[in-house]
Amino acid sequence: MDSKLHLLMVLVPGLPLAAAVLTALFGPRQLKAASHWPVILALAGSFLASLALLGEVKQRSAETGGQGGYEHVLALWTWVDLPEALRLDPANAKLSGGSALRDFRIDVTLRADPLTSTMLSMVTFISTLVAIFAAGYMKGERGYWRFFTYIALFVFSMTMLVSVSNFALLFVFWEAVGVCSYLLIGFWYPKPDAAAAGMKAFLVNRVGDFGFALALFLIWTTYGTLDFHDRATAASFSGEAAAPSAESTGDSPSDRATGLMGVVSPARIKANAFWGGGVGLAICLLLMLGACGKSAQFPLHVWLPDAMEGPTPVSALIHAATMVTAGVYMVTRCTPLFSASPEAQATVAVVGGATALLAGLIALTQHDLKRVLAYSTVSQLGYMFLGLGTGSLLGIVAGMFHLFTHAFFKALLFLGSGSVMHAMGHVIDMRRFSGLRHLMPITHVTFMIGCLALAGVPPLSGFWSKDAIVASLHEQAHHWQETSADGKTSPAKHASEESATIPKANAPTLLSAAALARLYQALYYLALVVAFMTAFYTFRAFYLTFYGPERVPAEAGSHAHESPWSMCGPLAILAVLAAGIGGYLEWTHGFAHFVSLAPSLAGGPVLGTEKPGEFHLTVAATSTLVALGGILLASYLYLGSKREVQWLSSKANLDELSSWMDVERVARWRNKPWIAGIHANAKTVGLGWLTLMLGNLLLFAALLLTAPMALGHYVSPYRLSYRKFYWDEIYMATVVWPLQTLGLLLAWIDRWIVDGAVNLCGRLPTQLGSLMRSLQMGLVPFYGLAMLLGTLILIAAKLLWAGS
Amino acid sequence: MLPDLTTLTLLLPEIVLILSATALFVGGAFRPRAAALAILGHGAYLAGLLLLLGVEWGRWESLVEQGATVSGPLSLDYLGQLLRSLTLVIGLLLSLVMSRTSPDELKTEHAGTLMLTIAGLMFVARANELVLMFVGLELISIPTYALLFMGRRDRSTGEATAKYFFLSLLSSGLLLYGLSFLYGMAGTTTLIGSGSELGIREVVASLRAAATTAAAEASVPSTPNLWMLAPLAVILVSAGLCFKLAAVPFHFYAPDVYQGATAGNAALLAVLPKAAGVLAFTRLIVAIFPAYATAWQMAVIVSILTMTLGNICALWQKHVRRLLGYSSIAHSGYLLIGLSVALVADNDALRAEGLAATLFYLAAYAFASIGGFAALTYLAESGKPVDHVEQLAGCGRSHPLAAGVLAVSMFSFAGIPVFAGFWGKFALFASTLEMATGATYGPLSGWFATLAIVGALNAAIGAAYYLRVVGAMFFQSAPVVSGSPASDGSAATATGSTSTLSAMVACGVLVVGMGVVPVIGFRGAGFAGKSVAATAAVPAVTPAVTPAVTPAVSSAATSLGSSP
Repeated sequence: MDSKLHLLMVLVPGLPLAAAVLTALFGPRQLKAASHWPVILALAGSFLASLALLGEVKQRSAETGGQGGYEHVLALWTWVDLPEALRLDPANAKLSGGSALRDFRIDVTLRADPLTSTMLSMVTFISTLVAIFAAGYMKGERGYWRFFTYIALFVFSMTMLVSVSNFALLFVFWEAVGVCSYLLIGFWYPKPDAAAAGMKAFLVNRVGDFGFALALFLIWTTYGTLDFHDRATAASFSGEAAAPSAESTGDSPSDRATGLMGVVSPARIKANAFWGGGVGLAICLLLMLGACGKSAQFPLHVWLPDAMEGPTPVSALIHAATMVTAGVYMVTRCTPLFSASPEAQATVAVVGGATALLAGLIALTQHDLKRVLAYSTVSQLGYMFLGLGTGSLLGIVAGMFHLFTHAFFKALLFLGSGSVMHAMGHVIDMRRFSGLRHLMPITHVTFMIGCLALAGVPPLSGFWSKDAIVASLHEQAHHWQETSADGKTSPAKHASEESATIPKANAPTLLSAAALARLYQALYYLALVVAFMTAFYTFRAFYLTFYGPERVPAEAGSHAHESPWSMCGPLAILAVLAAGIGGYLEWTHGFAHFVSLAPSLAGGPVLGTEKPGEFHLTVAATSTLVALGGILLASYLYLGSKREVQWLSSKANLDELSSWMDVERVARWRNKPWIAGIHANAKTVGLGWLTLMLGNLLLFAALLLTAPMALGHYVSPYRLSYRKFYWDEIYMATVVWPLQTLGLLLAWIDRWIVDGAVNLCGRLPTQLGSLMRSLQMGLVPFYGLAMLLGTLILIAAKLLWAGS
Repeated sequence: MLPDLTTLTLLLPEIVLILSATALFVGGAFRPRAAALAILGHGAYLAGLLLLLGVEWGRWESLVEQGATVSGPLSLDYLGQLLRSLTLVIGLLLSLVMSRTSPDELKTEHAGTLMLTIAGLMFVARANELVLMFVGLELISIPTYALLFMGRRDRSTGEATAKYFFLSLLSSGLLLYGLSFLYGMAGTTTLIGSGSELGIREVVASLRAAATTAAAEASVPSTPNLWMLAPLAVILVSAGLCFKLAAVPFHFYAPDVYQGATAGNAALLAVLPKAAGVLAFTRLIVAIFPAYATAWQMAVIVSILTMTLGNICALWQKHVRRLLGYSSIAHSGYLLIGLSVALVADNDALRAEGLAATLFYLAAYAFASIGGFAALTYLAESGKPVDHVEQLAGCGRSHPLAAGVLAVSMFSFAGIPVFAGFWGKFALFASTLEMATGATYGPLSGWFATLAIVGALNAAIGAAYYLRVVGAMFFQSAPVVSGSPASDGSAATATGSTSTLSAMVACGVLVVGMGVVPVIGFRGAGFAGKSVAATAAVPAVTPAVTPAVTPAVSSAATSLGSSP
């Protein structure tokens, strides 16, 4: 019964942790080249446990779910307990649930609900395959055991991240995942690029974490708790629910716990007691900032492509499946908070759309296969946020669905690129190899399946999930159009219908229903454009790698061949799943119904929106056509001659401009017969100086015009895309460089002024000491005299003071 | 007045110690190497401890519940009981440390003399009578002169002993002069009266009340009020006791004498007089002159001067025992912090808090001191006598256990967390800050804020030289000198005695244990503090009434017996 569930909940994160400890302890000496065994076994065990957990949760949620959703919380031990740490504003206390006096108490809790168990099975499955793949890929590397320790630690952190039932612990593991990713990206730390990339990923994430931390503080001061769940419903490990004791009286801690609602617990969702207005918006935007950091959303997307420096399987693990999805998971978990604040929801959608477009544009021109995939990941994550940003059940479930299917085909693509990279001797520049389809047949076929899935071609996985997002955008636009037509002018009114209890005095009026309708309509078209680009760049990379004349770089040496079974096996498994899992889940409606039983999605305003699982034929047809169009264009450009590509890229690069910038060309005009004729004629009538002056003026004008044209050269569409819209340079100029300068300045001040003052203080006591040492002369009469004098001085002071 | 039988039964452990000491003196004259005598030298303390904990077991609980009672010249309170057990433990540890340093033919004399000093401290812990108190203090001092001289016979020891002797006599004179003023004011030698019999406390309280009323009415009394003598009494008694504590300006002897004495004797000097000073100060000043401005202002000033001077001078020292001598001066300053809080407090709770902090600090200091000096003794016994800090270099490798205990002691002295000293400092500063921030002590907050700041600064300064010792042991390699005893083959095989080793390890364990589980120590110190705080708060006119002490858990007493 419960004990079985509890055991599974503990096993899923416990096994990777045990493996991490084991490899860390025995890796360097005993295990050495066998270091992957404990990790692979533990991850496989963890995967089986999470599958069992999934089954258990599915059965229980079907039995008890219904209204309010299903969740089961297991409290392991109390981590922090500061009684009476906060007194809530009495006005807020009612909305917060429970008494106004709050204990700052954090229990280490694990939770099982549809959302968590889905994430768990996905994470552990991909991790297991990546670990198997890495066993082949990393063979013979220095620090083999270290790599597997990091992997196990990473999986532990990630499983805990999705398992914990408390914002503070979520933050802890959020950071732990960041640390692991830092270690993994910088795994080849002697390589300066790798070390710098690890640092960059870590620092950019700090910006997001700063927002997340602020959001936590705000949640604590407004909601008075950081738990997701109601504390009264948490079960201890032995199985019984920790109900508050009946005999408790007065203001005891257990008394204060009664009626205390978790932040996203079913009870609170049922009561719909969420902050709207300014505070609610602030919380949501700060949470979104945190999600932007971890999920590489604009404007914090810059770290992810650099993270390609890590060993390939790591890239796959981090980017495709796990770490970047943490942000999506967190926003999904906080859906009720976002529902209370429509502007925040629109922000999520806009950020997602902007990221999807920007990253898609950048991916069009990259030469590095892994970078194409990295930007594609950023773009697809933007897609997920687009889905979440609709705020409808349809969209959120679609976002989670895309997360789920994307994990499979993106892991497939990353592992495939790893296989290519392995064969090419760590060369990943697509200009240096081509036509590999005969050399690497398995990789070729599996990579193609991944590409088709990513491009969204039916009936592969990517099609279903992407289509669901596009459809949800379409529906949302439609919904707001209807709302504005009905005369409901503001979404605030819309929200207040369902939740009369919330103080919506400062309810949002920034966005009218009509504006929202226009926004979602625009995002719908944007999504289609991005879908087109996705299909194009995916197949561009595919054709460049596997078609054309067979070329192999010199670094590949003699091992330009298909990869070993430990690498091909995971590819094959992933290919099958990438092809089939989306369609299977879509047609059985399994995913949508299951995930929507998670407490965050099973109640509140979200429920009032569209039901998930409906299939929109027109939208599906449109997106299919768009995807096929992208593939066809790529095929036309990259399968045939290269002339069209050259022409297109030169057009996009504004190459004509450079001819205009040529001063020589202006100067050559002088030699044109008709100009020379005019000049000669003018000379004869004595106006030679005039034509000369005109000519010089023209030359001067040409020079003046050159500068803006040169700028135009740098911001040509091709260059913008190729140089990633100069985001790195912009950050360098606006953030990194000023801070470095400031740092140098402060270091100087610290060294010469602060340290100087401190050293002065440090020298003072010793100087004083040497002064006093002279009193210690070793003469008994002097000592006796000092004692007597001391006494007399005390008495004299007393008499002089003449006090009491 | 002959003491009745009840009084004698209350002094059983002391009697056992004195009889054992006599046996050691007499028996040692005939058979100085007898094994029985060696056993007696240690066993008497254990017997005393067993008697204290066993025979008087039942009294512990009643002490917690009833507070202080008086039986003639003895006061039966928790403070006395706790300090007596602590003293016996200290005595056992010291006897273990010293058992091998003295030459064989003087062994029994040495053990007996040490036993007398311990008995003296136990008398001080329980004295409710001026004469008994003074005799107890002298019973500590006089054997100490002999002990210092017996430790080693060279010129520096002789000089140190002579210095200590003369200056100690002078301080005893000051103390006696102060006591005579007390007697002159009260007309009795009993400190706390019982029933109809008035003690010094009651008489002083009523004199003070009379003086206050006279001042309020601005009337000139026909007869001079004896309260006028209070400042003289307080200052002279404090001066006498400050010598025991080695507080400024009565500290001069400490560095010289520590340097001249053996490590074991230095341990004795560092612990016994200091404990006696704290006890006597509590009984004579804190209990009798509560919230008396002259007393607490003097204590605060002396405290600030003492800890600053001790720490600053210690920074320069290269000689280990001299360094620890200055360090002991600094710790007197810290002890005075707690005592001054206890002095100024006008309610029981705060007074008890200050006293409890002082007592905890005293225990932490005592164990760390004995542990440190025991480690030095052990090093000397293992053929590596240490006089200068540089000589400690490489000890972490060659003598890891001794170096470890010495490091633990230093960390505890420095007040680094997880060691007993940290909690001691924590409690002292907490009580001071409570005084500085408390709403009712507005005008006084400046004094105590200064005290807290100076204390914190001093803790930082102190850490510098304590960590220097640790650094020398663990981060410097031993200089390779061919003639040094450590590199000499025969000396390197020599190992310290088991007794020193066991004392050293026990101290290390106690210091760490008190740091890890400070609750037990704090509870005991809290009860002791309360027992005195209650006696100090006696209303002036109705002397015999003792306010009830907060009822406490009876198991506290048992837990306390095992770990002071």
